[in-house]
Amino acid sequence: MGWSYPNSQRDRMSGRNWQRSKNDLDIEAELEAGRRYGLNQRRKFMWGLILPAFLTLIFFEILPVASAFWTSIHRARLFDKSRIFVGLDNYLHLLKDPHFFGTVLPNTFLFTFIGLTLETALGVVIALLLNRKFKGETLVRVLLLFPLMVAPSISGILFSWLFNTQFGIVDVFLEAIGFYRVPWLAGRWTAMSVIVISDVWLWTPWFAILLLAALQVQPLEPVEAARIDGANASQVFFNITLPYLSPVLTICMLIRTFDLFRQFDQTWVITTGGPARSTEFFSIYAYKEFFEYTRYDLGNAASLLGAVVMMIFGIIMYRTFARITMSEREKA
Amino acid sequence: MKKLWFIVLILFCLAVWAGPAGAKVKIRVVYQPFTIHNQQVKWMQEWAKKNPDVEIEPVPLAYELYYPKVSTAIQSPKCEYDIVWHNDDWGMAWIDFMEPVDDVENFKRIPRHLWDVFWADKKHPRASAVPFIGTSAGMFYRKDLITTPPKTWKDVEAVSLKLMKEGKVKFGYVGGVKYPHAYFTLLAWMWANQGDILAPPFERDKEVLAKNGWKPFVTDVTMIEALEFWWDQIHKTKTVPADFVGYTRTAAMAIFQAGDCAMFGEDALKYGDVNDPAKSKVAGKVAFTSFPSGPHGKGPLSWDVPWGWGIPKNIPEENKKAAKRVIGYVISDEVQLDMWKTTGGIPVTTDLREQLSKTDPLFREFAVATYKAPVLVMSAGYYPEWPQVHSIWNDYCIKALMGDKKDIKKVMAQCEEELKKVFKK
Repeated sequence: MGWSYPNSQRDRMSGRNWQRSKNDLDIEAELEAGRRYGLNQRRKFMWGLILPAFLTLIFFEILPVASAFWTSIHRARLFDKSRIFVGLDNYLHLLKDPHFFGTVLPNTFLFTFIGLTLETALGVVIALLLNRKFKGETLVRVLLLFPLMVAPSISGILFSWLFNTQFGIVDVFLEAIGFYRVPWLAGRWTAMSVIVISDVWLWTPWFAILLLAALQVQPLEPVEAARIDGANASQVFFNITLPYLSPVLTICMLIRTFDLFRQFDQTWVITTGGPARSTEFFSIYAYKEFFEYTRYDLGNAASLLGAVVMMIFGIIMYRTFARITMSEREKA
Repeated sequence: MKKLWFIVLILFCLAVWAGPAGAKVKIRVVYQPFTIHNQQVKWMQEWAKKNPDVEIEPVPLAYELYYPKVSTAIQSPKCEYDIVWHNDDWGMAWIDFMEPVDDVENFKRIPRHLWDVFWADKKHPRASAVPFIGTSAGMFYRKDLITTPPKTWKDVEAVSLKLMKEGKVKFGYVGGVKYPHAYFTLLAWMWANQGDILAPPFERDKEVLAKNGWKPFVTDVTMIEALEFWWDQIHKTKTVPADFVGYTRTAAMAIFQAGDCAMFGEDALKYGDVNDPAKSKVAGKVAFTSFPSGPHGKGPLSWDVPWGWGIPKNIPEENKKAAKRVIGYVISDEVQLDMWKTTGGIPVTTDLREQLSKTDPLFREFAVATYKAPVLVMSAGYYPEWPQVHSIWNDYCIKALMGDKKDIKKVMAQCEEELKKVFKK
């Protein structure tokens, strides 16, 4: 038996006057119930779709952070199972630690700033150089991708041997051209330079590839018009290309800022934060507190404090970049 | 009826298949992939071939990650490992989480000082790990270049300078310096000068240390002299590489194996590696001696402390039983003899040590340099805070070596303050 509209509905559709009988009311109630049922089903379906993501968020994001926070406000150490509530004592301990303020924070910000500047500048230069036709273009682009295929810890091992004073190619080269061998990993600033160089080597291609992709879809008309008007290369770059690249550049810089801020693997492999804790970053500090000293409370407090600093820093960066992007667009 | 027979047949097949599989106990062994551990695990697997009810699954873990990772595992509701490599310096940290193991086969043949460090606490009168090797350290030296092994720091410096001047080697001495590799440089030199991190020196009873207020000893002349020695070697005489403060034991061994250095501080158990022609240019030219004595020292120094196998409490009972059988086997004469012959590792059982001393001249040389050395030290702090104390002390020593020589005492005074904070409740 086929389905048909109830009388009342047919009447409404045809515009005919009608009077609702008891039968019609029943049918309407049924329809309403059906609608509700449908709505319920739709809601259930929606929840079904959201639930996996929601559960993932709860179990892998919210619960670990909550657990870390709980640990950070209790005394939790390998040998002390008392779990006494200590409030914000652990956070205060960190804020009073001269090593944290004198070395860890400056190192983290300095590394983030230098790394970001070099990677961005080199990335833009490489992208501009590659955005033209030349022989071996494909090969160069493939080679450019090579560092991206290397795991950060492997790059750490690679660079620690490259800069090894006895066996490293860098010192052999320096000696060959008449310089002394440099004990790279024995001083704070030389060791920090090795970490920065290794990070720049690893991540500059990432910048270059993304910026190159943006450059390749850049409309040529404004550039040609500017050239006809007599603009030179640097004027074209600063007034047309750079504003055009700024949204992509902003996102790239934001992502890399967070990455640099929480850098761990290369530093751990190259210096483990040494010599004498002089190249320690946020992440290494938290790791040492947690795993090396087995002070889980302080380790968690350091991680959460780092996350808060990173969040504040991220918001400032985002707003600054957004403002720059807007003004560049307006200029353009 | 046919259907019923079919079901019975399936159930029978399942029972046959599940029977032996269910009875087989899988033992997961976690260790750092070091020559000596590899040898032990190889024999565990050999044993499992003859004992089909047990299966061995090796889980190698990097040294730098080992302690934090396994510390977390043994505290979890169920440990993922059944046998864990246990270092003497973690005895205190892990004691509450480890199964008593002094009932394993062959355990009674091990001298008490080797397993004492795995409990060393009146609350825990039973050993919490079975020693499988005596990790005795000292110096490997080039016997083709050095006829009389150096006995004092002065000898080490003099021999180094002479050989470097003659162009025979690039450096006099190498060893690990950065944390946790400084046993063969900073720690050995401090102990060889009768120094220590906490007072009274060489005391390992934590009750005595506690009674003494966990007082640091790092500003004592014994410590300062040791650091001044290394400062001179790095900055003045240059008998060690310029980037010495960043050295791991692996980096140090690479230089010695390359033939660039005359002396190399390490555990005796590395003899197999430095004497392997496939890995080392100096194979066949290597001898072993104790660490040289400092100005306040009482003679050449070594230590005779164990590495052991432990069984976590938080694993099933049947796994504990199987794990004890496996461990009992790897301290048997068969395995211990193979360990000595293939790696240079000193066996743990008293009677086997005595037997080898009588019959094997090379072992006699190693015995004199290690567990029979004039001065023996327990080469760690056997209290829960040791990893932290060790790391802080090591970092400050490196800081002192990187700065001016006249500031060494000042840096170590800062170290003293930091160490005091560790014990402040």
